[in-house]
Amino acid sequence: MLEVRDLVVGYGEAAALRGVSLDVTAGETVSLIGANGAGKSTLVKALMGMQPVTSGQVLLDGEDITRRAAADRPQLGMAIVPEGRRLFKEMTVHDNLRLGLHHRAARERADAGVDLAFEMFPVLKARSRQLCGTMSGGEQQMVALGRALVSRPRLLILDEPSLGLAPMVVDQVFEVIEAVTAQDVTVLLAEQNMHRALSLSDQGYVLADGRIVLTGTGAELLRSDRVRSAYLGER
Amino acid sequence: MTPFRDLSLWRQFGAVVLCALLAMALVPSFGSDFVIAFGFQFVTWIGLALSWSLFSGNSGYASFGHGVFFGIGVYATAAVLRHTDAPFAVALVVAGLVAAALALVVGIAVFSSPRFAGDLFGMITLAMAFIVVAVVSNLAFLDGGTGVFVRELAADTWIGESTGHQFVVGTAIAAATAGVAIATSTTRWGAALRSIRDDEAVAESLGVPTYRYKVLTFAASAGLAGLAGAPQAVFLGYVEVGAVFTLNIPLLVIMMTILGGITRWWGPLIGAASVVLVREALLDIGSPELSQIILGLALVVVIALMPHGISGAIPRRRPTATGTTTGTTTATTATTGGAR
Repeated sequence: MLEVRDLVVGYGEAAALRGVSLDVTAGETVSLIGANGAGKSTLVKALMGMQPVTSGQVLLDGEDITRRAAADRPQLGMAIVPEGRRLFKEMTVHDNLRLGLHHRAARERADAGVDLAFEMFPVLKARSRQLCGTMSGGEQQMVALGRALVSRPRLLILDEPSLGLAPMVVDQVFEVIEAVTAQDVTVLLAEQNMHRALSLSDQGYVLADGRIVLTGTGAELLRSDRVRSAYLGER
Repeated sequence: MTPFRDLSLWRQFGAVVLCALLAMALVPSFGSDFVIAFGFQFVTWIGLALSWSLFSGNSGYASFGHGVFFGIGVYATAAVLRHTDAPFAVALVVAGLVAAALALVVGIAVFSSPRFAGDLFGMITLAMAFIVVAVVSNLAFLDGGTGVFVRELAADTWIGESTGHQFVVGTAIAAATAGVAIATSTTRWGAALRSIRDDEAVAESLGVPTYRYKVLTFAASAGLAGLAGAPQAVFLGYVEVGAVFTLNIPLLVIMMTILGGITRWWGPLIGAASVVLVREALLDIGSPELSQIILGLALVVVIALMPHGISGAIPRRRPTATGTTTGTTTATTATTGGAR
């Protein structure tokens, strides 16, 4: 479904991505793991059109979308849960969710509208008028997930969804991701929490210093010692 | 358009129309000359604060050009009355259109270039203000340095007949501006504008055409300020560059908006009303400098105590456990939103 071919972002020694290639098959859950600064977020932003690409290609169902505007992503069936959630903090929960349906293509796909998010996270319903900036990190992550999911994306990209959250909330977030993967949504998960990410992934890529250094099924990578050394810097 | 099925939206429209009609019926008939003149300035400031926050409050791009759009409305009106026999209604439309057209050009130029994003927008609107003042002062067609006596030009017209009539027009314009502000508070258009303020990049990724929204809303905001300038030309009677294009206008309007808050549509309205009333009350102390200082200190205190302004400090209605207050509107929006 998604193919990344030799993607480079930035120049020379300062390049954030130095020729990354990966494949995401439709229906699969693929995780992208690596230490802080390995290039995960840059890759995610490049896929979403939020980061200019120096060279290489991003193909979605064979179509070159490398230089398509960020604003086209909903039309392509892509949605993102950005790093740090990046909610519209001065706006209500309801308005945040509704913006997930701003694009006409998203509204056409969405069968339940914003109610989909309320079904998944009943706690949000009672707070639909609350400003997002006044909510806890876990609640904000629910809104961010809801905002991405109400548009019924074919490809959901999550950037560090567990970052900065309490362990109990992390459990909840991964439960939701698992529920999403059980539907026919393709998921690309960029995550530092490699055990959690790999255990629900069909495929994993390990990113270090702007390059893919290791790839394999989730189970293979979980057993691999090289993952630890490449990613955790453990000696 | 789904949001327009929202009952609370219609209730708010209704309340604004009712207040405006009451004011139009009562103030000119029963008020003294002083009250009517004060009322005119009152509604003009409310309109200006609401139209400024329509673009700048919602999108977060602070414009220092609002006085220019208002002044252009004043001068466009004076020019139409001076050079043609057209009625005031025509001058009013021209005032709105000319102001909107200028904002459209500036908006397209500024927002097309990513170099001017963010804070530079404010600088550019400030530069625009100086250029426009220079142009108006030097064009004999508009002013040419002598000013324009609008009072004589409008003497035989309905609007020129009494301050009460000017008040009616000013109130109608302020009410229309409030209507636009209410619409932005609940529609997808308004939510998209506010998303630009909070996180433009994420808004883009959700498919919000930020460029188009910025350009068109900036033009709409300027157009409404231009409209407000039309009755002002007649009210002033004598129009001159120094008095019309003062930097006071954008600064006061920004102050009103911060004071009132931008998380609710009526924040700028409350802010404008408070500032105008406090300024009037402070006139009695006889020192304009002292009253400016008091006003400034009051603003600092309000910001310190209420970061979201007066309107933001008032608690929102929470839906009950069964979701009776907002649950129904939410459901309506959601279901019809999905059906489209």
